[in-house]
Amino acid sequence: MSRFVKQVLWRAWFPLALVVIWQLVLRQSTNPFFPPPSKILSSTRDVINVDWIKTSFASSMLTLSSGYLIGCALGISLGAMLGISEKLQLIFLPIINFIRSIPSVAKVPVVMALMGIGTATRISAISIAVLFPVLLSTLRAVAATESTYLDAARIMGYGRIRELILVRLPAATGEILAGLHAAVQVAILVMVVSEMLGSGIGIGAFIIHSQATFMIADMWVGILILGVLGITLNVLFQMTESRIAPWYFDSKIQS
Amino acid sequence: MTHRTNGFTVLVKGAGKTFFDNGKDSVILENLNFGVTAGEILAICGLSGVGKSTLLRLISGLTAATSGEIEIDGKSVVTPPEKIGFVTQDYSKSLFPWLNVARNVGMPFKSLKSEPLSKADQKVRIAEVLTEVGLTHAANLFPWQLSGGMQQRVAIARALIARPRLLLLDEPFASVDAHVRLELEDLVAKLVEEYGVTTILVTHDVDEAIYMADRVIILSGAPARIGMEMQVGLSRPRNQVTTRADTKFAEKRNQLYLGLRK
Repeated sequence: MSRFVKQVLWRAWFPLALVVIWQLVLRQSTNPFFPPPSKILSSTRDVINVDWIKTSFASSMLTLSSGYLIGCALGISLGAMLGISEKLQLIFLPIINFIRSIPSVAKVPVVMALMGIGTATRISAISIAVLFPVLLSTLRAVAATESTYLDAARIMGYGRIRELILVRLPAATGEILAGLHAAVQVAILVMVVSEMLGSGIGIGAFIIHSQATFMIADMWVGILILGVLGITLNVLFQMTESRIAPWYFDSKIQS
Repeated sequence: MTHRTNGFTVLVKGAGKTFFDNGKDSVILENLNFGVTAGEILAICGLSGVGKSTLLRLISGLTAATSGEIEIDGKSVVTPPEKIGFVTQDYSKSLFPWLNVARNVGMPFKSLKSEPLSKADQKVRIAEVLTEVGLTHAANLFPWQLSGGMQQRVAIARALIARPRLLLLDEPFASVDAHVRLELEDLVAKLVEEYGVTTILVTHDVDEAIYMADRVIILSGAPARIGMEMQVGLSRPRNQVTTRADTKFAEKRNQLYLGLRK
């Protein structure tokens, strides 16, 4: 048996066993809140059709990706600017730390109060939630560039901007990617919450709506889709991270 | 040294460096005065921690002197001047791990300071300098895929790419094994001849100082001063076997060891 197959089996047997136990325990259950997996599976077939994918799923993915990308772009640029200026840090860090320490979910109602309910609101809420962790991880990494890299940059005659773009930012790739990775979970969280708060569209709204109309198996379908989404993004990240910055993520590389 | 005519002159005029730590001043270097003529190879030798590297940083303009002045090519040094190359002991932390060897070597071209060269000419020059350091086959590899000796060759290539007129070497061979060390010494000696560049080599190794340099300065004491100065006077090209076996080499070594202990 190849090593890969072995690894997959080792990883898969325990979750599969849990599903089997879940099925065996609940197969005769009449409790509407905890349907057996077989029932969720049949609901999945009902729920996931072209229409659902076109509306709920597409809407969620659109908000998630645009909110995430905007937040990351802002976070990296602001983090980089603050990272090379102690003055800017002195001025803005207290406020950034204050806003960051408010749970990102609690910021959603504020955004709604300012912008109403709509796609733009959800995108903004996700961007704001993503912005802060990305900003801070970028700032820290950009401010803490190895002094030996900076010496090399100065000998080559780089000014501040060249040093930032050609040395500090690439040197920070690993830490920035780690920050982007962590921000994915926050983005999904805020996406679901903002959809649940009265938007009527998206996976979050679908879950709340199913629960309110006693379509409990459908609710479980929504939750499982979120799980699959989270784990897929996680795996994608792990795969790309070590390709983009192997010197940072591959522990076998000494640098 | 009339054959090495491409180098800057260096003048260290009363230079000193005081660090402020733990609430008190500690004077590392005080009132140093010496010069390096154009094309000369000077070795600065001394025990660990004496301030050799600090002195080299002052000359390079990476660190500001707290007293006195450094002149390179007649101009007072404030920031790193154009046309200098710097190689440190820590190759793994001075090469950029996100760039392959060719791109690492080409990084000095990204500066306004080096004369603008067209992309095509840059490529030619990178290939040329990689051949000179014997790394043609490694152009597309990343620094962390190379041995220590090869990484140091990359650092040397990067230092030479823009044809510097002053080469500063801070313990460049201290992190590689003994055999590679001899190879790198000969490589640098050969390249310095070809480029005709003024060179200042910092080393704690007396033998290396004699083997490489035209003149050796010993830094000793705290704060450090010039404890001894010596012309090497061995003929070039030098050879790892015959030069080191020369009785004159042994004589110089004995003198320097005495100077180190003073």
